[in-house]
Amino acid sequence: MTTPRLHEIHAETTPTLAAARRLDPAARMPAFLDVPREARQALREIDVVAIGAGSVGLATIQAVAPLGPRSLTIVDPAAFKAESLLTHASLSHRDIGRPKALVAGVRAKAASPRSRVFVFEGPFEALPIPLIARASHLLVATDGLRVELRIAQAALHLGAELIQGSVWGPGLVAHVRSLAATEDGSGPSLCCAFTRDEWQQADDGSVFSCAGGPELESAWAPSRAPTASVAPLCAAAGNLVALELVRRVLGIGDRSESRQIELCAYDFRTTVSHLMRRADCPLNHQRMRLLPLAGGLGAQTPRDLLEQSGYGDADPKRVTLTVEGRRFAKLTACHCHAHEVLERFVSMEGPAGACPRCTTPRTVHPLYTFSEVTAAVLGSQLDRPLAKLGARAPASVRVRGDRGACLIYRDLPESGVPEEIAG
Amino acid sequence: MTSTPALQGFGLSDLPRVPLRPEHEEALRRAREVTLGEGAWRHCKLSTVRDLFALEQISERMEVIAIDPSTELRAIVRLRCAVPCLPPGATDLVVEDEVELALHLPEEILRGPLPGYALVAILKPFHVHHANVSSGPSQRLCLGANVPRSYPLREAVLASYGAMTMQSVTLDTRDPAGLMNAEAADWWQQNLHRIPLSRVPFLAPLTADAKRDCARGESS
Repeated sequence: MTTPRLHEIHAETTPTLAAARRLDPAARMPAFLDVPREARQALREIDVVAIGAGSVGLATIQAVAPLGPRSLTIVDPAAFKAESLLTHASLSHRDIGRPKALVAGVRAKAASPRSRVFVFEGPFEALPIPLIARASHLLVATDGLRVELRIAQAALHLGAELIQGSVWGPGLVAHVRSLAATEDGSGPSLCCAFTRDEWQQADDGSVFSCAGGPELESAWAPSRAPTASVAPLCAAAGNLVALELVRRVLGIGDRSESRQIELCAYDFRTTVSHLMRRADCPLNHQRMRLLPLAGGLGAQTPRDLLEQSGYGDADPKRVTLTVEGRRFAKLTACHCHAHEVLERFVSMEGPAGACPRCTTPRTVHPLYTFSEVTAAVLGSQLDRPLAKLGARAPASVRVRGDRGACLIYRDLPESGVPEEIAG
Repeated sequence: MTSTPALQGFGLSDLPRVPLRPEHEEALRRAREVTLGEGAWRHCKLSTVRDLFALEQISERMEVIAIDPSTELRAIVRLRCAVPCLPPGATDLVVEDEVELALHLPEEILRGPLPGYALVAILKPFHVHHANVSSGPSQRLCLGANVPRSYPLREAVLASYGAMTMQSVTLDTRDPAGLMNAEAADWWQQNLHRIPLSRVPFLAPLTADAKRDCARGESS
């Protein structure tokens, strides 16, 4: 897998007609029945993250972009293959070999020059949190159940509405799952609708490479089967997702309802069913409070972050911090058993240098190294800036305590994508 | 390592029924006080803590040295078993008789499989010479291509015992599932006659026979 790449598509880099830039996005907006006129503006205030730009995903993105969302982030690690021509109605031979996210992003920007369009050529798991955190809607058209688990968890934590499109080619079925965001986590997750077989597939489909040792931990390789379908069915699923988005944003129907829509082209019958929360869903349904910060997080001390998240006065043993991409190592371990004090945030995998006493390579001590660290363990380091503690510029920090979790993240400035977010 | 006599009459499937010793009951009570997280995760950690204590009580070969269930669950356990090592400069395998395992159970285990090397690292001895253990200071033990969702940590302890004694080992350098040290895999391919290092089951008492079995690796 190549290194993930994040960039923003600017209007001048797309073949956008000058006329398109001057377009009033409302020029062809219908007067929806029973929808207040001002509600239509809501379509231009949504922040959409589209995960998957394949046969269903690209159709979704091309249908959503003309709605003029405030921002559209497109995530896909793959490139188009020759076979993609068979399932994509709008693809040309020139797109073969090009990154799917980039192709979709350029088209989206051309269709909606006023929208901020971000392209992430990488897996969803590596998408910087500031881009997910700003999402009001996650549109999902992936082909791996394990990644869907992660997306479902993100939607629950961030309180984003999630709409998933998929197809079952042999039955000519276009399938949409539409999940409402609930304040109290009482609604279903995408995984509440998983069948036993789907859970089994999610478990079996996860293969981790040990070939290069621990440094490859994140390079898990899910088994993926290509979409076997006909292009119009994929396009229909993509358009259904976009229509469901319009319904949700405009408040048509019950917004708190989560549902599943199936369109079977064999007999053109549509089935709509309610989705319910499963009591034994293994996902954490707790919603996080979101706290964007204008500046970098490196200058913040752990105590600053506790205070900003409302945990300044909490029992230090009952409140924790999780710094994205780092873990807090209190002690090291090496051959001399000295267990030198380190008290720094270190990378998830990197060794902690050589022991000053025995000079052998040391590692972080497993018992005293924490991905999620309590304020009590941070102890005397609570008032040192994160940058001085080894976390130079984290993109986000999660603070969790008895009153729930809060995600503090570096906000995305209007001027572009800062290096610490782009990675 | 001094071992307390194991409770008799309990097997691995009886762990929830094993009555804990007072010091373990007290440790479990303290664990309840410090364990953080959502309900399902807290419950998972506490039942894991209980499992590990119960496992210690039914086997003379295992001792829980330290345990911290506050955030992720972390524990150090000592196993009395044959451990293959090849220190720098050694001309032949050195078989140690105990191993300290650092166990780590992250919350993600509730939601999906994890890499096979996510749960267990070897703190001591150093220079473990094993196809499924990474070389270098972190000495991660790989239990397979992955560990399934909700994999119990007690299973990781048992799998570690099987791996250390080489009752269960992956040596095929073409099969990445579980292989962490290709050099050691090659070495063991050429020394298949030394496998397993011990045939003694995890629940067997520490008898003279068992010790003799442990010594097989050194003498052959």
